[in-house]
Amino acid sequence: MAFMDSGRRSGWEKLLGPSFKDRALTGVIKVDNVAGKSAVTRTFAKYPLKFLLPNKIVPSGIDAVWIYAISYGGGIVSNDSISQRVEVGPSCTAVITTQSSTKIYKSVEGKFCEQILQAYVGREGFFAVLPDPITCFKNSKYTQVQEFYLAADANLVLIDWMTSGRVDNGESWEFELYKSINHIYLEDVKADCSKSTPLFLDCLCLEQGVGTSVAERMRGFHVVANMVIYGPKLAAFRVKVQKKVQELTQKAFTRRKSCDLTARLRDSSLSAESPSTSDPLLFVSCSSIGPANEGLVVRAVASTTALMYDFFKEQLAHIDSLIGACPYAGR
Amino acid sequence: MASEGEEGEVPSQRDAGAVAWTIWQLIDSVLPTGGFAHSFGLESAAQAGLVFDAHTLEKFAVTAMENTGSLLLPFVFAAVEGRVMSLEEWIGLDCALHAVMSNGVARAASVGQGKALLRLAGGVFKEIAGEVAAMRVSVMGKPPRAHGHHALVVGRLLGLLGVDASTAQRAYLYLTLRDVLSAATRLNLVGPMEAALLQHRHAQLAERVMGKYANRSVHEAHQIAPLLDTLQGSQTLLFSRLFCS
Repeated sequence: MAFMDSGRRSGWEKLLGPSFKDRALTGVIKVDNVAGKSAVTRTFAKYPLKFLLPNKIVPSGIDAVWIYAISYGGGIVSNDSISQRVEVGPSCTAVITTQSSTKIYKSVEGKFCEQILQAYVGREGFFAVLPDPITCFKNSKYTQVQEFYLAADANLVLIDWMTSGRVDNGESWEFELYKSINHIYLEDVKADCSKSTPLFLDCLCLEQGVGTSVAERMRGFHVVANMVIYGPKLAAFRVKVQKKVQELTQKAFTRRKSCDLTARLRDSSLSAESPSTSDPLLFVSCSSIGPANEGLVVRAVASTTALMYDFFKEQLAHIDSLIGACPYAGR
Repeated sequence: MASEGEEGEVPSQRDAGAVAWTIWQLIDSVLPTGGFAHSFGLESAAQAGLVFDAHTLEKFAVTAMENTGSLLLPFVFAAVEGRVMSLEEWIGLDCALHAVMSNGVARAASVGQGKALLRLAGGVFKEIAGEVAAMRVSVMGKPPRAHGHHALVVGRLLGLLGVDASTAQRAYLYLTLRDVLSAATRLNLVGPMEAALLQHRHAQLAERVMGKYANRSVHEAHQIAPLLDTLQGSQTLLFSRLFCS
């Protein structure tokens, strides 16, 4: 089972098949400790990917490198493949984000777009993946594979999210395929370094189902998000997020709220009224992961993108002192 | 003559008969594995107001069944096919499924039912007592090396008992549908008659789920229902509840 011996073969090869060898990387970033500070020591990007490395975002006194991954035109056209590798050295901090949502344009001749990210985080390193959501346009096909290898005491915040489409244009859940794979492996300290154990193997695939369409399954919600928090540096952050999620859950499940939702669903099934026009709704839940519950997975669904931004902004404020700023500020 | 016939042509039939009895026993609601403590997220979906009548229940059941198909059937298939699979390989699969099931509520339900079934199987299926004992040690030994996830316990037991892969996967879908509809009756969403009607009607759909998701590799296992997944994760925080998951 390749799941289990992931480290023995290249993770790329395992996930994508041997054909991966023929694919060229479109981006490489390496962050190392230089004179006691995190610094980008290697960067390479080619069409359609571009990196921006601003140095005025993080206030002095906070050690973090910010990377904007940008695609030309703000989106990915069919048959495009973006594959990047990020290495965050021991004790370094790196944040990777985007400037706005990533648009996935319609599929031409059945071809799809893909984004692949493979990241290594060294001992006591910290990697934050905080992109804007993926927005799949009508008839688009998109696959995303993100794989993380964490050394001992490494830390990770991963946000992976998507929206239903160009909702303002009346387009919602009309893409053909959205598939997002997030795998997190822990380096096995006892065994040799080439072995790693799976911590989180998640794959979400949204396409026309056997019995229900994606829209039917989503019931008026337009945003789907996952946030994974892992590592010793983030223990306090996890507790705060967990508390907030529980608070939100209890609020969402109070009788009054539930009745509102029920009424809304009944109405919308009768009048086909767009649910986004009624009260905004956010549902969140969280679960611990890892052998010693040293990780947290937060799942969230919301009726509007703004609601999800607000939720993330509120949570990320807790790690301001680690990453220096919130990438979602102003959105 | 009759006795000759029984010994001559019938062994395969007798085997098939024995296998059928095994399957019926394993999917029977009398088997005390605690399946009825679980609603597959139906209770939280109902409390959130998402399921409130027969129509919305039908949509829920369809989605729950398809999610079982896409996420768990690959693991059932791997375990049932791996009749000759070593215990080590089975443990590896179990650890992978543990990482796949990151929803704490669903994960606890899977482990709870798997362990209950494993405990029971040792005493019931004497013909595979050795294999079951080895699995039990890996799950309940100290320290445990595996978690005992339900899909993998069911798959391996059915495989060891001589059940073919298609029947095993179909049986697993049946368990999902049975438990969802049984939970629905107890949550008073539909009456028993209507639940029976729904169960019958869903058989066709289950076959379509089989057609799409049966015999897949575990690498293809995926979630299809983020909304239900999120709601199910809230189950333990509900103010009042009947079910564990």
